[in-house]
Amino acid sequence: MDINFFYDRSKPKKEKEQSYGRLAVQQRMRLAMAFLHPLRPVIAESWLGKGQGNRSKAFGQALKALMQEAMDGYYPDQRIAAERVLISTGLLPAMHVEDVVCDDRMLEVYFSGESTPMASGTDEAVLVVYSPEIGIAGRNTDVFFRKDGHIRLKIPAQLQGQPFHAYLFMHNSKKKQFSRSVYLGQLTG
Amino acid sequence: MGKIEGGINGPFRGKTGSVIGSSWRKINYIKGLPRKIKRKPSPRQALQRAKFVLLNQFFDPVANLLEIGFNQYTSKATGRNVAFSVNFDHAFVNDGENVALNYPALQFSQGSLFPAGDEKAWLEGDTLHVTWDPHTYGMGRSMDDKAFLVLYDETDAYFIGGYEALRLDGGIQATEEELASRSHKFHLWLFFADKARKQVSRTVYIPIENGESE
Repeated sequence: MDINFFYDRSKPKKEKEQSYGRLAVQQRMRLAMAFLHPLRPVIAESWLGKGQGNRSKAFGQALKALMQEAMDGYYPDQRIAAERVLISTGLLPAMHVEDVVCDDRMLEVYFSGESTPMASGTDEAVLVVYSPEIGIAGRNTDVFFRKDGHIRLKIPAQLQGQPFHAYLFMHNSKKKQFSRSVYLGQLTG
Repeated sequence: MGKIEGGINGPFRGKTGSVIGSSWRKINYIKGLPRKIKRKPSPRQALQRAKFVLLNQFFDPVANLLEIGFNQYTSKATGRNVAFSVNFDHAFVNDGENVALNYPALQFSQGSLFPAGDEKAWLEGDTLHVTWDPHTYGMGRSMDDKAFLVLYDETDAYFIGGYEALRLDGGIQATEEELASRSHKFHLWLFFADKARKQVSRTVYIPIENGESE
């Protein structure tokens, strides 16, 4: 009889080796979830059109887009390219960013605020700041319109003196139509 | 005598031979009979047991608070069980043979709500002042979130008190006789829960200035 048939507690357990592809996808999923999870309140609204009105489907679509479009590198060194992450998507025309002014308490963005048949002057701008390392995000609390041509945001206390990503997008007054988000860069408060 | 309630393949309750069947929070268990082990524990076993005792004794008085802090995970465990497993890997500082708790690393809650930021605490006589940033910054926090504070005296190894406030209050003041003693070492933790107590933030350790916990 084969002696290996008997259980031997001193013998280390055989770990089932997982395939390279599976490990790579698992890591990609983990990174994407960690990045998007703190932004759930924003994504639930801004991706709602892609999620057929369902908030968790909307998050799933944002997650899928991130995994397909915003991943760099190969396992085990995969990373998220924040500049390609879409925290909002839709057909509403985006704005042209002209200037970004950031100090330790306030972030101000100036953009072209022209009205067109597709883009109303009453479309509202949303500015989001986010640090995936700290897991803290914030957005503007005052309302700014496309016609204003600028938006201002108070930087959350945890992000002051820290590097963070900033995104800007538009939605119409009924929050039914959204624009694709524009990445403003990695800034330091 | 054990009873098989769910048929021949079902779980059973009670003593059957050398095992006991039981059920807790809809989880069916089979436990062996308790037996006394006379052998002395190995050094690694002794260390592990010391860690279990230390962390369990620490969390025992705040079990109710842990039910709030870990409420998302308590369908099949108590808040204390979850707190134990969340904290066990990073809760200790080990200098050779002695093991002690790593107080700043302890977590009384875990969740996706954002903590306040800019937390400060200082002592004035027997009064503890705590402040935090009350702003909501548009996402991940609400004005009516409740703040839960826990104050611990390391020297006498007991919890002085637990305090509650609203996020919008931006701080609290607490007066306790014990705080007048500057030779004692105090630790303070803060976390937030939403109005429905469904979402909670992670715990933030606040070093106390003018005290001995810096």
